[in-house]
Amino acid sequence: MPLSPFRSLRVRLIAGVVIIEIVMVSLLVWNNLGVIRQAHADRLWNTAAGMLELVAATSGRYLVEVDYATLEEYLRNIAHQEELSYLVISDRDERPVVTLGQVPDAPWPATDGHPFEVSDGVLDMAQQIRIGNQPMGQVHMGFSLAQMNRSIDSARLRSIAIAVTGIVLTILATVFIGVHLTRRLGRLAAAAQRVGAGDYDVAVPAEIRDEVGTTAAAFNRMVAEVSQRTRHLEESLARERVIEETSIDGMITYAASGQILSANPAMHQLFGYRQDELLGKPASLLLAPVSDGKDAVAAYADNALWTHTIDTRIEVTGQRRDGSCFPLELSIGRVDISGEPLFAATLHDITERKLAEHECHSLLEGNRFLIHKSLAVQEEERRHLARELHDELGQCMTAIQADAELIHELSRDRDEKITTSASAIVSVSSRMYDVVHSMMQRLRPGVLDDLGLLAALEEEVDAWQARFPQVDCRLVSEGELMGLGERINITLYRIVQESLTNIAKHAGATRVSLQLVRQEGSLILRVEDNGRGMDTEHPGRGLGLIGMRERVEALGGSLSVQSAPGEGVVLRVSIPVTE
Amino acid sequence: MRALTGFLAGLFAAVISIQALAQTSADAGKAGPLVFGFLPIVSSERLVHRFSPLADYLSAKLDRKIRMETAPDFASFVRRTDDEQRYDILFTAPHLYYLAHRKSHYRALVRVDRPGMKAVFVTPVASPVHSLQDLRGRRLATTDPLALATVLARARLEQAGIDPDRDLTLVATPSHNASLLSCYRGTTDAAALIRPLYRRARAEIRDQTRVVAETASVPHMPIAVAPWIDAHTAARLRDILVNMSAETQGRALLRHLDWPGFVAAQPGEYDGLGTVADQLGID
Repeated sequence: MPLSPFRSLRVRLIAGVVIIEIVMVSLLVWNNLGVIRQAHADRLWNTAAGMLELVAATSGRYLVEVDYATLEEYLRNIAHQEELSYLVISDRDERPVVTLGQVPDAPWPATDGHPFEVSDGVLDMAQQIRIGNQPMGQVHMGFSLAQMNRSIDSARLRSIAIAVTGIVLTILATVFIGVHLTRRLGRLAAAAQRVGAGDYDVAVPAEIRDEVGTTAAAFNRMVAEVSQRTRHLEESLARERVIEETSIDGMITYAASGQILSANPAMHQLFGYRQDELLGKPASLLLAPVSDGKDAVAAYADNALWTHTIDTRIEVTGQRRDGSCFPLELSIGRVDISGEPLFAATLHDITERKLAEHECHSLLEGNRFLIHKSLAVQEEERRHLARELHDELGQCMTAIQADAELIHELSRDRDEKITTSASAIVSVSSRMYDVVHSMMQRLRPGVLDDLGLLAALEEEVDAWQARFPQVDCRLVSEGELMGLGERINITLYRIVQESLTNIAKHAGATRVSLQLVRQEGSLILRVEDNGRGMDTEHPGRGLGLIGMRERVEALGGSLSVQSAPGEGVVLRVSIPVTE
Repeated sequence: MRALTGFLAGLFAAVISIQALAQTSADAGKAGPLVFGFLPIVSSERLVHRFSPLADYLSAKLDRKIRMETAPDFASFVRRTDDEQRYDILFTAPHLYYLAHRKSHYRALVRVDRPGMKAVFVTPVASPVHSLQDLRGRRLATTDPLALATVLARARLEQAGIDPDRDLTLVATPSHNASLLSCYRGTTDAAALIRPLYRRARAEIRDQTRVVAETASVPHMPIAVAPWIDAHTAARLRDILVNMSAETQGRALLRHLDWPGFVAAQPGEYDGLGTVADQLGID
């Protein structure tokens, strides 16, 4: 489209320069004329003042000598100034005694302060003639301004002629340079228009290394860069478009107000809305309205969820167009474009994952139940076995030992062989009894059932201390520990038993502290040693800790282990108890 | 013949009397300022500086404007005095007063209260000139030919048998100081100048010069009035001048003039200057 002449850079450039030149030259001429006028006036003033001072200073002696002829001759010698209009010397009686030039009519005209104050064309000046303080007369002088005005007029004409010449030359130079410059700028503008239209195969000549040439080279580089980036952007957009269109997850973008700006095809499959139906709708439309107090995400089912939950994955409940709900994993990202936030959300249907998690949880619960059941059965079997050992085998061993002692008494002094055999039977049966007793203790300490948890633990600790006398092992208890129940008693006993076994096997400790405290509805067991410790992040493959944790969790309690290599182990068990 | 002489004398006296009477009448009718003429013994600027306070003083005392004037040179001053009768009051050299009195009937009112005026012959200290006779063939600096120092020196030379126009060269200088400086700097061999001016010269010049001879003494400079000044005005002027030393302002002015005061001039006090005045050739 052709440009208006008034919008053409070439016209504006030339017109601007010409106008500025005219204004500047006019100001310069105006200023010069003022300076010239002032200089001429100052020169005339200085000349007149100097001559007046000279005449006033040198005429006194002639006046007092009344030698007017000599005075006139003297004045004619010094008064060669062409601008001098008149010169009059008056004596003390104000009578003119020497007169040169055209004397103005009486009275004397008023003296002028400066040539600019002159109104009659003659600069009138006067000064008293003195010798010392004695007045001898007066000098009156007049200087014509005609020559000064002629000089000023001549200077004005010269200045105006020079200014006009300068303006004409400037116009010609400006037009020439402007046309030359704007021709290349026009090429640049045309190339820019082609680039704007999407044609990146454009290049402007940049051979001349001036500002325009540099700009042209920069333009070419910019076009190449824009072309490359545009190509990369188009490729990137194509890739993203493929991902969006083929993704099984829903993807939307929305503004800070929550208004959906775009949606991929998967959104239709997930929610049943067409893509065009979602555009402009609030993103909260995609989430189920949650009943109060039943879903923690309820509070976020409005715009706040969509604009404040950035770069995290949250699980929410989605709602399809038909009203059915399904679990969603929502991931939101944010990017600022030109200062305005733009949000993008990925909505992943986690229905199958939730089902799998539920099934896994059920299996875990079943497994845990079986473990607890097996532990209970194990304990019951141990107790039964211990009772059988105590009741049956113990009685038999006692009977054998009693019979062997009777035989030993009866055969003493009769048959030495029988006596020896009887002694051997007594000894073997005694050892067998100890073994059986030890087995019974390990299977089920009788003192636990007879004297309670604390006595059983003390007996266990004493037995352990007896086997490891180099270790300082102490047990401390607080609170009422009776009546805790069979399950809690055997659980705590087995944990202490397993802990001491582990310390003996692995810790290498020199001090072991056991603390059992009942307080405020819970029973706290703390087992601490100063051994070599363990790496809790990478525990060993033993089943001890797992078994202890299963036992505690079966009672609704918790078990924690604090340790680090070289810093010992602290085992803490908390089990709820009913008061 | 005697009768004719007596008639001429009477006629002359009558003419003088009538002229004096006419002049007195003319003076009585003057309303303008009195013109006080000063002999240009120094430059005009120095003359104004020295004597304008005296003119102002007299003007104030006399309650009449007095305008000070001088002349470009001695000859002009004598011409204006004697021919043009320009000055109402006159301050001039003694011998020139003699001429003014004789020709224009100026009357001396007072003179400077000093014993008298004389000229001295001065040479550099190292000069071979030790007497007036030693000046023969040499250059003698004097001021204006009409100046008192010049005429006194000429008279003294003639008295010593030296013809000032033949036996030596008289070099005219603008002033007494110029004469003394020309001698001091060796431009001339000697200088003749009024003694008071030599006394007021710089000490370094006086130390480097010496007086060879002196001239005869003449009465000091007079202040005279023109014959058309009435007797009353003349008497007031004389009284003012004589009594200057009796009042504070007058004494201050006398100090400025470097004079002790004025005394009334005696009749015939300047008659002895007829000889030197006649040597001037002014008629």
